[in-house]
Amino acid sequence: MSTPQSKSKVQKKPPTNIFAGLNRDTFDYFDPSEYMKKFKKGISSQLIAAISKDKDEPEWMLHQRFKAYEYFTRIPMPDFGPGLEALDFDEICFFAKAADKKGGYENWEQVPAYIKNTFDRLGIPEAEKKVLAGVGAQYESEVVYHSLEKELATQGVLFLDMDVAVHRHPELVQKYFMKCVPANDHKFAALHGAVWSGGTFLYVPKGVKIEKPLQAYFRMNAMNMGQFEHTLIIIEEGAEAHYIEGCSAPKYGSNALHAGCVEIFVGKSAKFRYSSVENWSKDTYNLNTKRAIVEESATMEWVGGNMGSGVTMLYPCSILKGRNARADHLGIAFANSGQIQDTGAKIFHLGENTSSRLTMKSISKGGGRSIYRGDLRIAKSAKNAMSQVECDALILDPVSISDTYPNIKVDNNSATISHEARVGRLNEEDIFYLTSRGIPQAQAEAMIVNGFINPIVRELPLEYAVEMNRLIELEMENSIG
Amino acid sequence: MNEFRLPFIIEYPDKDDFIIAKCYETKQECYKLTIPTGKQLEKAIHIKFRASDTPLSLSLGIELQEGSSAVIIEDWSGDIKVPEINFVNHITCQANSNLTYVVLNGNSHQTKMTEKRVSNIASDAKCHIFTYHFGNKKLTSRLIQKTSGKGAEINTDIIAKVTDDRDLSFDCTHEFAEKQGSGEIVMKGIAQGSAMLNFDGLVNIKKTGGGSAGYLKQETLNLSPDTTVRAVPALKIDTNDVKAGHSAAIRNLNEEDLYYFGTRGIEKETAKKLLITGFLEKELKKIKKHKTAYEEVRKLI
Amino acid sequence: MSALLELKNLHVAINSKAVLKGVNLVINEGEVHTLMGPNGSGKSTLSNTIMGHPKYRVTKGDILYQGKSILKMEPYQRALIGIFLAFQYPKEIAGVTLEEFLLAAYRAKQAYNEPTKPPVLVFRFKKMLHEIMKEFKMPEDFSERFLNQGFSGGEKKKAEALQMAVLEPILAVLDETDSGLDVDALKTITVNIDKVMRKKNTGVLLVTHYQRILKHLKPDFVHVMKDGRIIKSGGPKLAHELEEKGYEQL
Repeated sequence: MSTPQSKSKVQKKPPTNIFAGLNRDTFDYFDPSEYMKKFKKGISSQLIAAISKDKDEPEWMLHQRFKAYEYFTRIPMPDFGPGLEALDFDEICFFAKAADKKGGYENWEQVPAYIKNTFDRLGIPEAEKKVLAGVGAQYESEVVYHSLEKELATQGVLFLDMDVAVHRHPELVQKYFMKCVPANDHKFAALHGAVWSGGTFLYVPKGVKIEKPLQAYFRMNAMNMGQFEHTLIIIEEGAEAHYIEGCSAPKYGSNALHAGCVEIFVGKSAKFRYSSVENWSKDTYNLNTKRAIVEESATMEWVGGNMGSGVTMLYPCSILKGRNARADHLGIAFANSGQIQDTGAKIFHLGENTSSRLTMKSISKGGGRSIYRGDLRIAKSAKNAMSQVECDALILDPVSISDTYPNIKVDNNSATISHEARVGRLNEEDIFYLTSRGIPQAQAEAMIVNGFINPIVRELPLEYAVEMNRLIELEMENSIG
Repeated sequence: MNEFRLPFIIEYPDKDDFIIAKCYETKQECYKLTIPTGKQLEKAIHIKFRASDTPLSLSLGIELQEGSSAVIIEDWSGDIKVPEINFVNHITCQANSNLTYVVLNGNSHQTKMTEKRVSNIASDAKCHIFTYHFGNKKLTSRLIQKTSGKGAEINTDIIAKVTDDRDLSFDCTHEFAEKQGSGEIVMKGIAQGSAMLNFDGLVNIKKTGGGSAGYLKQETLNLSPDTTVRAVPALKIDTNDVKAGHSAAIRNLNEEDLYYFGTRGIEKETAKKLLITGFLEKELKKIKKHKTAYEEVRKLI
Repeated sequence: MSALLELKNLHVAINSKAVLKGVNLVINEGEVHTLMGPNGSGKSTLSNTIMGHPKYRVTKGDILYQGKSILKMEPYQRALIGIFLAFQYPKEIAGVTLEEFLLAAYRAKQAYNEPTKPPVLVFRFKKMLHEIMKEFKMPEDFSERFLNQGFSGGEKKKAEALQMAVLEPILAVLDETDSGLDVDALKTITVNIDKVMRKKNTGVLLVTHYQRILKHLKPDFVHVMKDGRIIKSGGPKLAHELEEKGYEQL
């Protein structure tokens, strides 16, 4: 349904880099979504049945949803972390569709105009023409646009929206769905299991190595939207892939909830990297669960940036199940005014000769609070485990806060564990040096902050590295909440 | 007049240099040792707890008045077979005072002990607490040092060795509520047998503690497969004009180190002993200058 | 009389990778053997295998010391019978002083060789150690420092040679003892190696890259290693040839 106008809009922007010329307003662009009116707020078994019916799901999936809802009603709220009292489940809309067609669209032209506008502004289709192998986009709980390069399809790689995968590959989905993060794991996993909608399904067969990163970029629109996308990634033996997830949401007066779930199965000797840049709106509760099970001689890499969002609780978890399994966690958290970034990592060493490395950099500004929470466990079975953790925190002004709570528990004495952390502020000497060369104060500060996070940012693909730096600069300039 | 039998003996040449009194405000048996204003004691005050069969519950307050300085040894190593001990220790260091407080814990391995130590250190005062734990079947220790004046210095060294099925748990906090405070928490442990060793450490620099520098170091040698070792080095920083850092390490003896010793004819068990003692040696160096204390610690190990 | 050290068709592997592929070597008492060869040829593996490092597995062949196989002996047992290895990269051991370390080693040796005699007294050992340290031009307070901690590369090598002087071995394997040393240090070390040799008729296996040390410690035999085997053996002249033409021509 393309109009000449929208087409020329696409062609106007020269493809230099995706996020050139962005500012906060871009993210806060709001589409009047009339379709939202037909969906009620709050959660109930009727809503769940309606979701399942709408998707025409098989019996087993509906059954799983009900089971998860049962857990949700029984499990209490988590007793640690930032306060979630203000979260009112009855005020949130748990499901909405932005497009009528399921399974996405095969090419850009078919995408409805108002959806295209949003992605247009964010320059997403440009990306596909360049480096990235495929683009999935989520908009209002529905995967709108997916396309896959032909080479991937012939290699047997499945990169679909979750709803479609449930229909087309039921055996595969049923085998893995919510086996890594079971519904009874915690309250938000249960909520997720009941109302999940949309998300990415990625399956890479044995031995297939995908060089170009795959990405999904989605956003939440409309007030009181909750997002519960489910990403299920299965990397078979010897395969390799890199997946990038990034998100944004406009800012509003009422609370939006994000309780997505990412499950990753990294097979024997496989290698997988999951990169995400999260920049949710200042009114969201970002309570994701991300977890990977790593088999023998496999490697799992988490690279993440967490910004924006009123309240974030995010602890990517690696379970090093097989021998010689390895996990690398690299993360950046930026807590600006009124924000709480409660992030960290959970690493469980179960197999022999497993190793893990964690590098975390956090920044707090304008009264923001950044918290690192780590949980490192070495099980009795984990012989010769090695783990190295480094977290550094930069507190930019006297009113901001940084907390570090690493929990280390060792049940096997052949383990070698080291953990280090440093907290401080911008070095005045460094700032003086830059300003004495004519660089304005704010810019000097931004440069140093970028330098601080550089070891992690350089692990992101170029476009995202630039995005990250730009977002940091935005955050540095913007001290109003 | 002051006819009360102390549950401990105080060894010190000149009894006029300090004041020991019994307090009656609390229902728990309570004593207070005060070093008067300006008094700078040259010798260490050695407090030796007596043996007893009955459970012991008592509180000992230490106060160093302005400008005073002292070395005090709290000694639980004299064959103390008390079944249960509940001990509370309050330390107050007024401005410009200097306290080195050494706790020697060599209680019987059947004793269960709960200890709580709280210190308040005023401006420009220094307090260094050294605790050496080689005793007790079960110990729950809670230690908090707080700065209550500008420029206060607080340091805590906790050294522990757990063997067999003993269980030692330490929770140590340094709270910087005033400006320009400084100090480090060092927690070092050796775990053997099927013991449990828990180190919870927290450096808390409050909003009012600008200009402070607080550090925390935890290191454990985990020598046997059946031990459970836990380390939580936490930082809670509420202002940015600070220097803070922490590190934690849990490891076993290094195979390469043992090999090196072997190549010089030193067999495994001797090598292990040397390495284990060496592990603690670096921290022991700190009290070498306090002869009495140092000798007592060596005896304990 | 049997040779001091005999390597018979020695095959050694690390994990499952073969590193030494059939090494044959005979060293008699009082002889100086030099082992040269490009990096990766297996020289360090050979040194550490003689010492008994657990990481190196002998898959075939034998090592005979004074006519008897030592394959089943632990490193400390090999040290007690008179084998010494000066490491290429000596470890830093925090918390244990050089003095403590050497005292323990010396006493272990004493206990093995003279079991009925009481162990040497600390002060007497200290005196002896300081005398040897003087000959090595090492300041006295070095013995109080934690083993190799904060030592420069050259100081570490000197400390290894010092250890050898204290323990007086019968077979000394020196792994690149000369690398990183200035002229004076080199002279000091070689003088002291010579001293031990004359006292105990020590057999020396010197692993090196450079000619320099050979001027001070004249080799009786020169061996060249490549790809896990000794490919050429000769007299001192071979060393000169190598200096001029390099390893390529072999």
